[in-house]
Amino acid sequence: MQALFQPVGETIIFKFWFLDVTQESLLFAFRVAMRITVMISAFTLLLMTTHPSELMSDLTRRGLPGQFAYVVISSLQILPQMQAKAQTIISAQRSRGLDTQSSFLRRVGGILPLVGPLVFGSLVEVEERAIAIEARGFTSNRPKTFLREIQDTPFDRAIRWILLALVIVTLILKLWLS
Amino acid sequence: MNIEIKDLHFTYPTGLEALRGISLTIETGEQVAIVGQNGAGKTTLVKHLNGLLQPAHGHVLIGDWDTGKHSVAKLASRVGYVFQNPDEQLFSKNVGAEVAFGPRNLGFSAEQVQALVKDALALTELTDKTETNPYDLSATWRKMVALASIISMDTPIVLFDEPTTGQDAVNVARIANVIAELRARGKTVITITHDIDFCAENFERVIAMSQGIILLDGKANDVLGQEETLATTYVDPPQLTRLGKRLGFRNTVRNQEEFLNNLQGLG
Amino acid sequence: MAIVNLQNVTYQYPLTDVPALQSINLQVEEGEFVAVIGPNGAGKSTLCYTLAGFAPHFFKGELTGTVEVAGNESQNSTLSEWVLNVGLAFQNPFNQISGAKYTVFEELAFGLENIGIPRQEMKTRVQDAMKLTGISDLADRSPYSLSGGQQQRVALTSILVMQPKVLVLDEPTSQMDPIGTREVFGVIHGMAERGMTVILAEHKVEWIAQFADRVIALKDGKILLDGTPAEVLTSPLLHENGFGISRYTSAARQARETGLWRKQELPVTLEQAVEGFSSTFAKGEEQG
Repeated sequence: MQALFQPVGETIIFKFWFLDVTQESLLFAFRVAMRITVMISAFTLLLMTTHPSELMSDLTRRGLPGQFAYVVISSLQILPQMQAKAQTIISAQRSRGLDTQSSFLRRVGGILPLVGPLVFGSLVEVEERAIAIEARGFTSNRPKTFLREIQDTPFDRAIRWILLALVIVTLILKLWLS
Repeated sequence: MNIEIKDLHFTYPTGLEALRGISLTIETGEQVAIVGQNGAGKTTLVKHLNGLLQPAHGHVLIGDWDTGKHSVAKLASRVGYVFQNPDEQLFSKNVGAEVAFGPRNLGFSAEQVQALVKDALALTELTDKTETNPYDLSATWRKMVALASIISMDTPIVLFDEPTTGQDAVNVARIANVIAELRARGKTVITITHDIDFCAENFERVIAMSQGIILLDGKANDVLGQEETLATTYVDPPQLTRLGKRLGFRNTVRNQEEFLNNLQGLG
Repeated sequence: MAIVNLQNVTYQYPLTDVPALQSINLQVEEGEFVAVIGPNGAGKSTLCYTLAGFAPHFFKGELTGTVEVAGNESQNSTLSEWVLNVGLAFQNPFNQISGAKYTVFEELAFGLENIGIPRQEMKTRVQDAMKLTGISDLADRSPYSLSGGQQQRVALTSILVMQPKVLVLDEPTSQMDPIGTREVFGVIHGMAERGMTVILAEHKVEWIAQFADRVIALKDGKILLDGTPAEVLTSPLLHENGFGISRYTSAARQARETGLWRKQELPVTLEQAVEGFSSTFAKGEEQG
């Protein structure tokens, strides 16, 4: 897609209708794809090697608002639970004759019986959960403490500095070479 | 409309063997309670009756229909299933529309739907709340809306999953009245319940399950008197049954009337 | 000196026509176990929320009168400070799990992290609380892998670690199966035995009769009855007003009319019923 819609380039490789694919645009597309891949793999690596609890604790310690951290991390566990709830809702409505196998148009009309209870039921649950965490001091202004100790070893620090140095070197090289 | 279950086996995808050879027959108009500890297979069994689950082995017949050959939506014309949590089915803008949902899906004409809705609302004491949004009602009344929504489908068989959980005495009495009315209309009523007193007072037949098999199946008075067997599936006998036993009654009693009759006999 | 003191408390939720609580006067001594009964809509939950400060701080609405616990007034406190005075647990155990923690131990520490308890003290409090409520073996389990009864016990423990002065429980066994009910009542009874002031809204009359020191019957936001379990649970007013009563009470009341129950007091528990009915026949006399 990127290759098709990129206007620059002179060396036309082939034509597709009125859109040209040039060597330059292919290279451009390749670069974009690589960037996206790097970002996704970095993020995935982060998620796979770091326990969500630790990630959130550490971010909170460094200034991320507690409420934000809570919303992110609780959704990791609660959303799968909501999936189970959604299954029950589907079963309940099928038991009332809702045909989940009929034509597309009928199914569009049939969304409300499935989505409605999920949304309304969730609103009730959210209020209760808010009360429950409030009852455990969630909105307290006192400075928070952490059960898990996140160690910041000299090794960790060294790696961070090395990586930072690599980024700077790469930037310098890029500017110098261009 | 009879229900026939032959050698039913079912295993969940997780590998849990939830039903290990269930066979039973329920005849038209019977009132049956299914009791037993969590995990005994009660809900699994009941979900086979309207096709939500399909047997791994054995078969389930609702009248002349094999549940393996009909969709859940079709079986819904013969088996109504009241789920435990009303909030998992309510979505309409008012009670009337909610109660009409089921019969409309079943293909009744507009006049028939209107009549069925009117009747179901009257039975559940909801007539004055027809225009109210279900979520504006208290939990007590949302429960009744859920009941009405299934009653309006006018199915010959009605299933209840824990109908009295969390309900106060007044609403339990209302639910008992609804069940009595269904009985009077010749419906087959099957309920799963932990409330053994409610079970004793409203159901003639009791099935006790444990670990995927049926431990006991018979008349309420017989089953509820078997304290030791029931204890293996964590079921305590009803209050008055226990009292009668402690007072040395010859018979097993299951409600106040029987208790007082037997008490007379002691003197 | 009463640890809980409600003086002429009236509370109305926003957008409603009628107050949910009307002129409530209630004093509870330290260490008392008070049960609150009433039909749905009578105001049990509202009373619980009022004691715990959620009415009016969370729900807004109008509160008149004073709500005093251990010398502090809820209207003069922020909610986050008030919850340290009064702990609250309610019906649905699933909604009381924060979702932010992956083990029961961490879940129990969640509240302590919020209020800034030092790490070592956190660990001690959690370990001690788990021992008290008998859930030490669940420490490494995910809260979502537990049964309803286990989850509810975790919820209770997570409030206990906050060390409130008063524990308010809004129908904690309503959604439990018989095993769960037994487990939860075991924990509550244990806490009461250790001197905790407990206010419990409940339907299950037999359990209340066994454990509570005092029973309050609520109807339409007002206190209808206030007395010992024996007094309140056998009062004819209960049946007339749609409260659930023990079947032993009901049977004995009817048996009394034909002389088959001779005692002055009606029974609430099985043992009381056995004793009373046995004594009718032990005397060996016939009644018409």
